Amino acid sequence: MSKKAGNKLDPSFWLSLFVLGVIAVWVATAARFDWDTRLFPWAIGIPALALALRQLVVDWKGSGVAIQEGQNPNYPGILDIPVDRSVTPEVMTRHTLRSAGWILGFACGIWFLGFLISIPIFVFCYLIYEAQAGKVGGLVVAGFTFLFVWALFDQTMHLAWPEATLLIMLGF
Amino acid sequence: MLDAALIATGEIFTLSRMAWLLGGVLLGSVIGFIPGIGGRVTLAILLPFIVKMDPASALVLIVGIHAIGNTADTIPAILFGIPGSTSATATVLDGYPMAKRGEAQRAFGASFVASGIGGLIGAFTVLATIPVIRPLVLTFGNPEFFMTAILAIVMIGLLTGGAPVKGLIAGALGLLIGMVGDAPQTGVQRWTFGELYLSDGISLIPIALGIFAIPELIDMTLGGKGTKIATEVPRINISTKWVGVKDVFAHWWLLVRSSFLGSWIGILPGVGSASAIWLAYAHAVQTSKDKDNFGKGDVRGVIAPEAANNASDAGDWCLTLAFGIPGSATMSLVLAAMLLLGLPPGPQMLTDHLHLTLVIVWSLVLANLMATGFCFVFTKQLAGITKLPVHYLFPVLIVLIFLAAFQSTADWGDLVALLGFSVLGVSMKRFGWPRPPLIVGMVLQRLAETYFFLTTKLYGTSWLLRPVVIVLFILIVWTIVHAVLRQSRGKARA
Repeated sequence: MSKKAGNKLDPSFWLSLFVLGVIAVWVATAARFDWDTRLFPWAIGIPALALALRQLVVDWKGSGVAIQEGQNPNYPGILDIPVDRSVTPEVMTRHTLRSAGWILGFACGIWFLGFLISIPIFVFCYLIYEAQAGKVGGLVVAGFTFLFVWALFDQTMHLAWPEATLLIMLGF
Repeated sequence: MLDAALIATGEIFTLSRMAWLLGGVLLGSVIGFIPGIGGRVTLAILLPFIVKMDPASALVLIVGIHAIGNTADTIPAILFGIPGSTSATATVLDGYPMAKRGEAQRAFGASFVASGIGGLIGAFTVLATIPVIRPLVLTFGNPEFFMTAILAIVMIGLLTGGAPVKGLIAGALGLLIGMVGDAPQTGVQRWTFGELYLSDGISLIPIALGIFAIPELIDMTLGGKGTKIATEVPRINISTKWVGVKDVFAHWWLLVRSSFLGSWIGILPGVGSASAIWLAYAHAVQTSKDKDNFGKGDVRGVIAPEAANNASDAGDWCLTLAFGIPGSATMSLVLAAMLLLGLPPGPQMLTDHLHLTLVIVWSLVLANLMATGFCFVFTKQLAGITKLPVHYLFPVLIVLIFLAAFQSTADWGDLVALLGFSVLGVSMKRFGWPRPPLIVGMVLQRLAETYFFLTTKLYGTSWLLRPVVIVLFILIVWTIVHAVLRQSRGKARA
């Protein structure tokens, strides 16, 4: 049994609009470059703009691609790693936002405390609060991660770490 | 040639040279496993030590480090869906679903053996073509290189089954994002918004990690506490590496074709393995009668790119040695090492220093065998990682991804790019936009634009009548027509 995919103004439409917007800005702003500099951006951008506009219309009207029962309407036959369909889209969105929160938190930690301090804190906190691991297990994994990073990236590769905001504020 | 071959054989088969080769393979395997690090960083760390060695030993060590990189970068791609380097991005598509299905050992078996054989075919192909390599490469001028780049993007873009238009747009978007920074010919800053970080363009590593790795990591933990990567019981009875080995020999013709394709792409200046893997993947899909399983854990989707990846390496080496044109960032370091060793790359490497070129070819053959053997031995242990709870792996992998992204240019911009492209990657995955064409577009942008500029300046419109250009143009049109017809037939059936 199949049905037509046709959600107007669904998230797919907004993503198409975003892509169209990016390409439109690229093509429009390329006009201020000299001919040699803008030739390639226009050679690629103008046909891409036409295709993106066509895609937006398709998404607005509904894709028209027949899909099988239980198949993700936004994902008919695309060669890429398939989306996990064992959970509802609401659960997936909640989980994505939660994971994104941890990732963003780690990024903020790097900005505020620096890489070497935030790495063991992030690993330990994630294991304790998200994975609900024991404190000893959390400490062991966080400790090993820190040692590995310190030995390879700091001591061997001498990676130029970004300056931590807190350390700058404290005058280090 | 025969004299040089005998000297090279004598030079490589000594205890010390074999020890250097094995050392390079072991060192490369330890560091090459970490996403985004690979042979390039290992080589950069060792450069000050390498220049003090004798040239043959140094070249043997470099080849050892480099050869294992192309084999070991598959490990995180299959285990976690995190490409160890841009050369492993295509393997993610089928290798990772195989691991989720409990067939990680099979995927590793197929990948390592295909890599090893692909590397051998590539090395022997280059060896056979050394006398004719110069005229062979020169048959390709600027127009042909430009058309090859466009063909690659169109092929990957149209591989997207029910969404060929989205595929083409994603490819074009990759090209446009790749244009950020200095224009290659005029030096004009494009879309940098006054940011110093953007003036050199956005590094490919944070983009590849954001587009592929973060979305897969987020999905990996979807099942809650205690979830493992391998969510299903293996479908096959003997879920070992040997099934993967048998798969390789069952698809031997695909292996041979992919290896030759990789060898040829490797010889072309600037194209490199990141394009070879996608062309091989596209070729595997287009020439298969049953395409339904590609992207869902089809072993052919592992064999083709892995064979092409290692095969292109030999061509890349040859190009660096004979023309002094590095096909990748790693090869730029090899070039630097050679100059420091007093071996200026160029035609002399095929005349005065031919024995050293043959030492490299020999080393490639042996290093591929060693790398395959080494990885193959530890397949079971590697596959065991898929049985660990993903909630324990998630924070460690996130840390490695951030470090891999940051070390590419050591700038805050790398982390911002990682986060931005992670959002784009998650959105594209959720809403049915294919991600591979975006990466391929980015990889090929500089090459395509440079050759497009030179073509239009040097040839006007006459380049459109060059025979190879016409053939490539027909191939592009055929690919588009084929995709449109396939989609129409799909709609008609429904």
